[in-house]
Amino acid sequence: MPDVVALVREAQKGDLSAFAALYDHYFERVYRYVMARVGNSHEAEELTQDVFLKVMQALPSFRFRGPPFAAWLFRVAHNVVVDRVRRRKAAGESVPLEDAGDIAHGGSVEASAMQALDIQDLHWALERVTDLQRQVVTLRFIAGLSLAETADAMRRNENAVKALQHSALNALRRILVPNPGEVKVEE
Amino acid sequence: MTAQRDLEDRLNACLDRLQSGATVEECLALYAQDAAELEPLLRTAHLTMRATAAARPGARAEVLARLSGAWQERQARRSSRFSFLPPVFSPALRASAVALVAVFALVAGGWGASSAAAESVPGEVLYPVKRTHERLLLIIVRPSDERARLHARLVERRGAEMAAMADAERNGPELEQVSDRLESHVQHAVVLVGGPPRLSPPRPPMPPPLRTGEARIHQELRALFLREMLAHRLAMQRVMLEMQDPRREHFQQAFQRSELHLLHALEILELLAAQHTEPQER
Repeated sequence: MPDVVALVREAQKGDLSAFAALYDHYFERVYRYVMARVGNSHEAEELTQDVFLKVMQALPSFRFRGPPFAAWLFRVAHNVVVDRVRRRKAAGESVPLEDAGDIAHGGSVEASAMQALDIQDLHWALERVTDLQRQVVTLRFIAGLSLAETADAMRRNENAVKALQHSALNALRRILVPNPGEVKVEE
Repeated sequence: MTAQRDLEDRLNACLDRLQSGATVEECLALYAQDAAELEPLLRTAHLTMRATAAARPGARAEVLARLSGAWQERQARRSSRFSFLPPVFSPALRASAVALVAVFALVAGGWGASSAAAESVPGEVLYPVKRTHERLLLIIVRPSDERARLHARLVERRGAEMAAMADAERNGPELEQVSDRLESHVQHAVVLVGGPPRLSPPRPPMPPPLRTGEARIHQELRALFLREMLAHRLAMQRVMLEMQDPRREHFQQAFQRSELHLLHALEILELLAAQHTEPQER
């Protein structure tokens, strides 16, 4: 686990290696977050690059008195994704899903899906919950932020996030397992 | 209302534990009284956390390479904004501009590029750009086989630099540095594929048993190092024929030292490959 605060300070001074180390530390989480939101690997790669470009541009204005770096980073990621989705909607484009498997075509998840889930399947399910529920699931469970970081990234208090993650998990459960009683879930 | 809030608190505590690697069962054991309500939620959360989303191989490195170009460009712009001297008098800006061109060239051309930076040798203005790019790649390339390949390619680069320095008859402290770096890359490559932590004499002990599936990487590295050793011999022949003492002696020592290191690495890789193939031959 790198010293994020020290790396951010060095990157703010213009140290490319420090920025590269930050990038390396967060790349996977940002990519997973974006992928869950857009459901397309090509677009996810492009948007992940956009996120880090925006972070690079805004880094000099980042202040340690504000939200933690991870929360700030995922606010940027959220804005990049929302911009893209808005532009896509304005242009009347459909969401380009790739190989989403049975789940996207069938509209329901079989018991086997409860043992392993592809992020594109998850994207399909996330399209069916509210925007706030989607945000809390992607930040907390996909990007792996803590409760406090998630609250900062969403600009909400921790109790509100606790309630949201409860309702989001219930909603996802209903979508992923339409008849929970019939499903034997394995660890 | 309070009961609902309590459940949300317990759910959150369990989610923190799941994030730290605990199993659903371990979380449920802590809150047995709420297990019926918590279990389906935790299983859904667990499934969501494990959802697979692997980026395309190479994506991480490619994106960083593009970002490093943008970074250099940005640094150059910032330098020019605060510079009171014309660019030609500002070494920092001149270096940034050169770096920008070089980074773009490297990114566009990859390892095989005949770009100015890729061909630079120690002491030249573009050499730090080349080294920065290499350090970035070493930061982001993770799987051990890929890192070993990268180090092997850097062995080739250092060898080419030594040969270029010999052609230009440029000896000095930089020659030792390049030779040291070559040895370090050889050492790293061998360790990453299961070799011992020290290659140089005394002869290293037999390496530990291998994981399966490594024969190919051992053969690949052997081929690369063998090719590099031949390139070393050719460069040394040129040095012996065309150079005069004391410069000739300096280069000869540097080449011999690197060649010895490559020889040790080849021996180790042969041992590792033999360990891997022996069970199949029996």
